[in-house]
Amino acid sequence: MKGKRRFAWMTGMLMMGLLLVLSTAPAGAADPYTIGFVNHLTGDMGPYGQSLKKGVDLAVDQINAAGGVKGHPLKVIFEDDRGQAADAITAFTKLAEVDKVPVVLGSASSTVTLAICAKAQESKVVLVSSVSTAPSLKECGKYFFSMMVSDDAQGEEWVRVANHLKVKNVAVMFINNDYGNGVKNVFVKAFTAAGGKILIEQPFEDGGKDFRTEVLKVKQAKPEAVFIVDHTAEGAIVIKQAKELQLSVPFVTDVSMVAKETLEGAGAAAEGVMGVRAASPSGPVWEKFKADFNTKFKTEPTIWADFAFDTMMMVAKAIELGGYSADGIQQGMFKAGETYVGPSGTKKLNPHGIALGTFEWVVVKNGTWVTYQK
Amino acid sequence: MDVLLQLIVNGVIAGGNYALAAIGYTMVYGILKFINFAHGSVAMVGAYAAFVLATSALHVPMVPAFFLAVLFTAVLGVLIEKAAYKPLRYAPKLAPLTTAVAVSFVLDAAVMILVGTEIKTYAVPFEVYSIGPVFITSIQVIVIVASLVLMVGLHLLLSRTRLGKAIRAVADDLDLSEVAGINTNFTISAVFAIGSALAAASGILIGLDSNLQPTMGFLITVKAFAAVVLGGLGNVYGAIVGGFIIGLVENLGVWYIPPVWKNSIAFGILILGLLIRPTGLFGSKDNTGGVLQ
Repeated sequence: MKGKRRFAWMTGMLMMGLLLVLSTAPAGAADPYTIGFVNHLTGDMGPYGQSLKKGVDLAVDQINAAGGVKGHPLKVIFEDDRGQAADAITAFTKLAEVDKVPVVLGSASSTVTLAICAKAQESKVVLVSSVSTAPSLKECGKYFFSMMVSDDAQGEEWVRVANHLKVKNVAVMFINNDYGNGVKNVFVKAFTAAGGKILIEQPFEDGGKDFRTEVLKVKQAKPEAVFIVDHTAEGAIVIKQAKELQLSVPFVTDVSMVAKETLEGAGAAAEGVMGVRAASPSGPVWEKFKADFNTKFKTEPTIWADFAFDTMMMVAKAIELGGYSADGIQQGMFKAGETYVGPSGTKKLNPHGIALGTFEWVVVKNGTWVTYQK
Repeated sequence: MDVLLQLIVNGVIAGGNYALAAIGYTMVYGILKFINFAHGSVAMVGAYAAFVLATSALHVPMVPAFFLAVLFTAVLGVLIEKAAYKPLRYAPKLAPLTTAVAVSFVLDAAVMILVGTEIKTYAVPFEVYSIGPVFITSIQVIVIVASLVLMVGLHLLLSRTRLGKAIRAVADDLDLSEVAGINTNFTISAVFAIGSALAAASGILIGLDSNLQPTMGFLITVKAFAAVVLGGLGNVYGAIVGGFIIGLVENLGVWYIPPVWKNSIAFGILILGLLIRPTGLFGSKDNTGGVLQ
């Protein structure tokens, strides 16, 4: 008797489970297309995730206001990874297996993106990162895309900057993670091959506030210029403390430090700092994005929000061209990239699914980033 | 040599900040015998309070904003004690400790919600002075002077005033001082007010020197914890010495070893110190602390 009752109970639970599944499954044409989003919404790197979320929100607003994708409105499920690989994997698994999304907009940090990328290949879900640029990402698999040009290209661009500045003996300061090491390694290799000399490769750690000893070490090496790669928070402090310790040689930053956050963090010390960034159409596309962003969030576009906006737009286009499935989106992305132009630039993709792009050089003048006049 | 001098100056700047944060931490331990893991978050709230006062619609000038923020944080510290720790005063020590961790989460999250997760800066301009081969900024001079003034002030308070005497008595034996007619509740509130005010000062000075992040409290807690245990739990002067030792060794250490170990240095010294002297540098033998021993 007892066994029978348990059986009945279990059947009941199963039925309820089925009902739950059925009630969330698509039933009509107007049902939304659900898309996943995993990023650092809190924690040390929270600011970047929050900024990217704004870009996605703005894109979704515009897409849905224009009638959605093939008549379906878009719905994004936002998950927080706190900048931790382990949390990102949990969040990604939830999106892939519970929400059953065919596409996830991926994390900002290359370290985190690398961790979930393997999972994306395994579960056959497209992962589109807005700004992860570690060179190793290109080997991750066919379900991966990045909307920002790879660090390979960034490191090579730095060599061109060094040649322009006519510096032969330089120092590199890098944030000690996959991203920082990626950019640094490409630059060191290319610069040494071109006959330059790296006097010191000085790492610094995520989350620190006192980098004076690191700066002093670089100063002792007497470089003609310092190339620095970070995601703004620590880098800005490094630039400020370098100024304090009178390390007065040109500083050249990577793509992610070219942001207003670096200017706020380093204050007057940022004056004269050079940087490279993905060349963006500063014309009407950017102006419209800036105005729309301002209307919605009452602030200038925050860091990488333009890349997140373009990520969402590209994915929407890919769904339109290839259909709302992982393989459809995977093929649609390449087609969408052929013609797409957004506030963060063109999105032609290389065979690894990573945006090609050209760089421009910028310099801090009177507290803002302006185009560098060669 | 020039480099060594600069490293020492840098170490003193970092150490002054750690010492300020460590004082409140150790005083609470001295009196209530529990480790207040929310202390760093209180420091962070102090730093943000100054930021909000100075940049919001209120536009309080920078210097008054700092003082108001310190005052605000002192009041906040007292309120936290009344709401979160007082009901647990006679509970097992693990209870207030766990509660303190929860308080730190609440404070961090509240700042994230109210002010935002973005990195903030006071944007105070600074000048660089050179004294021989050593470079120092106007802000760093303020950091060092302010931490020294606050430490001397605290010493005078503890050794010369009635309140100081009461604090020492309560630290020695809470029940006995109550019997002796000391208002222990008031004394404990005073300790939280002083400790939180000093925490706010250290948060503001760290913010002046670098920047503000809602998660900055954790690192302050960690460094202050190491300083406090190194100096001897519950001993104010031990905490100050511990703070300076950690600041100096960190800055000198990174010269020789990769910076990835920087945060481990604090704990390395801590472990070494405890192996050689389990009660800390200035701790009493029975490890019950005592604010002034």
